[in-house]
Amino acid sequence: MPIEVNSVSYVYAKGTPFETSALRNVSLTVENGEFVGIMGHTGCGKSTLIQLIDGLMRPTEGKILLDGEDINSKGYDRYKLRRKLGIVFQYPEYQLFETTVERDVAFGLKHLGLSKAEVTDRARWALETVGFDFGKVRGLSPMGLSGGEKRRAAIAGVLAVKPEVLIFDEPVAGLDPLGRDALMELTYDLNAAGTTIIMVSHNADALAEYAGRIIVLENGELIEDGAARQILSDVRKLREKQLGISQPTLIAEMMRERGVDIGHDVIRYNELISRVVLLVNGGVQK
Amino acid sequence: MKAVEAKEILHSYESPGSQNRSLNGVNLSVDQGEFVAILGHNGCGKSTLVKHFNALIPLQQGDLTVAGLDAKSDVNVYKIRRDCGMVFQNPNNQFVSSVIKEDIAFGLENFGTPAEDIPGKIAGALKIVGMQGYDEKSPHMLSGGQKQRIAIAGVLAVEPDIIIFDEATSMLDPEGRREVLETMKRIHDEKNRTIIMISHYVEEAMFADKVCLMSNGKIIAEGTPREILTDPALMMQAGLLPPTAVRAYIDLKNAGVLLQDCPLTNEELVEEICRLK
Repeated sequence: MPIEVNSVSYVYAKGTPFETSALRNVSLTVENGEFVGIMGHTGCGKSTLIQLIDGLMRPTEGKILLDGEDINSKGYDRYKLRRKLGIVFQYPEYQLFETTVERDVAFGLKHLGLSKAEVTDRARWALETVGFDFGKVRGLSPMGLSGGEKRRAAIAGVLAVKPEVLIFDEPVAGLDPLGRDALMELTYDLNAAGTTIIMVSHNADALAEYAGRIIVLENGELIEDGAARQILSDVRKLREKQLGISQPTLIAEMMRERGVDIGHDVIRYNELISRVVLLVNGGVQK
Repeated sequence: MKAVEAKEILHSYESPGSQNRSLNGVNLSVDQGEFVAILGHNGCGKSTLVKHFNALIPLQQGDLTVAGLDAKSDVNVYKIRRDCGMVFQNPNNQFVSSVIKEDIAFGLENFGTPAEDIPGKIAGALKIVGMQGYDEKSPHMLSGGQKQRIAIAGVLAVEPDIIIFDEATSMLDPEGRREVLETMKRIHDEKNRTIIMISHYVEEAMFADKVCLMSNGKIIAEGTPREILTDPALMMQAGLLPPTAVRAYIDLKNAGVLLQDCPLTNEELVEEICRLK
């Protein structure tokens, strides 16, 4: 189910003194099963773009196609869009509202025509997928959970609908390191099981480990779209665009400046370690 | 006089006597002018602890003095809030006005600053955070890092001795984080204020004078950044990951490459590797 963004522009508050052009002539295609990271600094139009893809706003110009159908055309069945695309907003814990965790997670399932038993099964599956013990957590108030737990419960509510495409807006902001890793691994597993993932993040380390492709926005324009390795290893450009650089890439660059080259393409932690081992062992053999 | 002296603080959100506690006997001593980083996993009680320091959460059990003032005494609440300012995670939650100078004046007015002194204090605070000339602008038109710096200016204007940063960088992009961290350092170095910073980013704790690790409502270790951050067992016990350089040291060791000393920073890691080569 590819997503096509065709020459899309978006202007906020058009025709008022506050008119702001948030996106200008952006085109991209996301294929089934991809893991795409979207980077760019605050105000570059990332959130606007995902809200347009999710059909929450209509483009001022251009089209958004889902499976070849224009999601904003007259007569388009928006129900399809809602079932296929799930969006996890920034700080999704703010959208918890029900009296129990199970009811909150099951809210999105109400209109899918599932039996009561199927709804329970889905809620169980979603909560277990994000790492909860269903029996323990189902009857608790979502408001009484810790910050990290709330985040996972809110994500379970989106997962329960089993969307084919999951969009995350800064999912790891405010999570501690182990929580961050657990959430990134969850998205990796979902992607491995066939779910398309689109993730907006400032966290270059997380995107380096998991994303296959990176899109960079700047001042409402798409300025980069390519393989994650190519874009995340281009230190000079990342610095120029004030984007995050992954720790392994930074370390490899610092080594290069000292005359020790372990390759220009290092972006992941395991690559850094294995290249250094190779370098040192190679040196020993000589 | 200590900036903060906490002894056996207990706290429960349910009721003061409840066994379901968020703080389980915290002991902490912060010197004047010290830069202290408090690290810990989500839900370890670090925010609950620092909210005691500016009297946002009243003391249930234990002893606490802030800038020499006893937190148990109700009459000290306003004095403590004046002496200990707080910068929160989300700058949007901290603005009260749509004009920056009015926003900064809010704290000053509430503390009874004479009207003729206010413009000077606003200008001074904006200068320290590097936002001169923004007095007439709206905070909502700024980037995340700029917003957070305006929030810091609002706290600085009141001239508190102690400033708490409660995950003040976690919502910002890399550039915004850098701006806010540099502002923090400048306030510490130039203005000699006591800084207490809460963070998840171990990299941000490296330039603190002291690092305290919290877990399950207790401080489980404190020491210099090097002592704490290069101890992986301790970091794991606190539910945190050591800095990249320390993890690399361990993983290289496991792969048969032994560096001479465990590095703390990326620079030190590169130095150690180059020494082997």
